[in-house]
Amino acid sequence: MRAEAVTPPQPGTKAADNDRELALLRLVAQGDRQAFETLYADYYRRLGRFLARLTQRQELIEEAVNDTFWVVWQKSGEFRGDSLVSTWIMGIAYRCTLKTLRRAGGAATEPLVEEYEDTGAPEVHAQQELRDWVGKGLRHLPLEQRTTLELAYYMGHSCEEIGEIMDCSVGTVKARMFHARVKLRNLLPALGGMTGRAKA
Amino acid sequence: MNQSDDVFSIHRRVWELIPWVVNGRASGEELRMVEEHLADCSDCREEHEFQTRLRAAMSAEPRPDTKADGVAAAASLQRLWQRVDGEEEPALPVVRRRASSSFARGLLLAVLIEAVGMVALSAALWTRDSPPPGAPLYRTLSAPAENASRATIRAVLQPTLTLGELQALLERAQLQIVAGPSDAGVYSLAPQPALAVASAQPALAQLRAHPGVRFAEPIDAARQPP
Ligand SMILES: [Zn+2]
Repeated sequence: MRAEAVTPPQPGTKAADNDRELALLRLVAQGDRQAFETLYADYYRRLGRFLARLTQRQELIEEAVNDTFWVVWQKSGEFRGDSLVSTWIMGIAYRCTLKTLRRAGGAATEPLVEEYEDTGAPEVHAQQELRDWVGKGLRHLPLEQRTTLELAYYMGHSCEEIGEIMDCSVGTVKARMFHARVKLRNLLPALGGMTGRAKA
Repeated sequence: MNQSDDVFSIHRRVWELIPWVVNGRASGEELRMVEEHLADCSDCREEHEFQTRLRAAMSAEPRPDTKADGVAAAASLQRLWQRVDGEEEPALPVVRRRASSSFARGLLLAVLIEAVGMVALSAALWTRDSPPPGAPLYRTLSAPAENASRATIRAVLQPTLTLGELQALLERAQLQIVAGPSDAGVYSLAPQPALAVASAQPALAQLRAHPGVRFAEPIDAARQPP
């Protein structure tokens, strides 16, 4: 079972993506619904899957996604371009999610068994098993550490961007990343010794 | 600071930088420093491998997208627009046409295309009953209003409904599609031509009883859009 690097497109991490998103956001600020729907479509799935790491309750995920885009619709005119559009949107998403989780109480982050469709393709299946197994390990991390790791590895944000998103210092991001890594080395030791030495 | 302190401080810095190298967000200078150090330090090499696998596992998608995902996205967007517009539409929110839900329509169309194939759909549904004289054999999805005015039932289908099931259901209920899907995914159904005078009620009951139909309602002729 070898984990090949799977790199889905990461919105906002390239200058061209940001130019495109910025153009869309400017239109949204003028009330352009079609531009808004394009932006929504770009983020809906990835945001949902990102949030699925923070809570397993589908209705809360949906609520947080729509709360996020409600704020995007309302505040698009206030965006000054000081950060990447994706960083701005993810910051809103993080705040909306914390609010939703607080309102829903402690049960919101309780782990539930994820359901997968068996697609039958072995390489896809192995990849999903690996993801599932890693996901179980991640659930042992505190929310801030899990979020940091998810923003870095699923959404592809830099250390500085994560600081903006989570409204904390770069030092705090580094500390969270450090603790998350140490914990995961203990929780998922097999991930280190799966294939021996990496090929050059 | 002696040399071993220096080496140790580089090791610590590199160890800290590894995730940002793995996710491609380290600067060129940082990347060079890390690569240089990895050549000499097996601990950092091992950590780099571990983080690379962790990232690969975390960025793998949990499952392929399904038709249900597309419908969920469209429905979710619809609810957001309702909130934006401050509308209260508890009963049948999808019936309302909206000027700009091209995304919702796109998703629903994608769902249909994926389910049955556009060619199969147009060939099998739009032209399977002999059309009235002069009517085109192929109609686009935005059917003319004149045609839609024959409709007696509005229905939204489950994305899981297959073409075969849909055909069988329409056959049984003696209905045909005359328009749709609308922006909101609504189909307009009419009795098959020979049965134009028949009441919509039995057909309506059959549609509602079918698990592949999300909802169906009679069209009130007085309220029908032009
Ligand atoms: Zn080292």
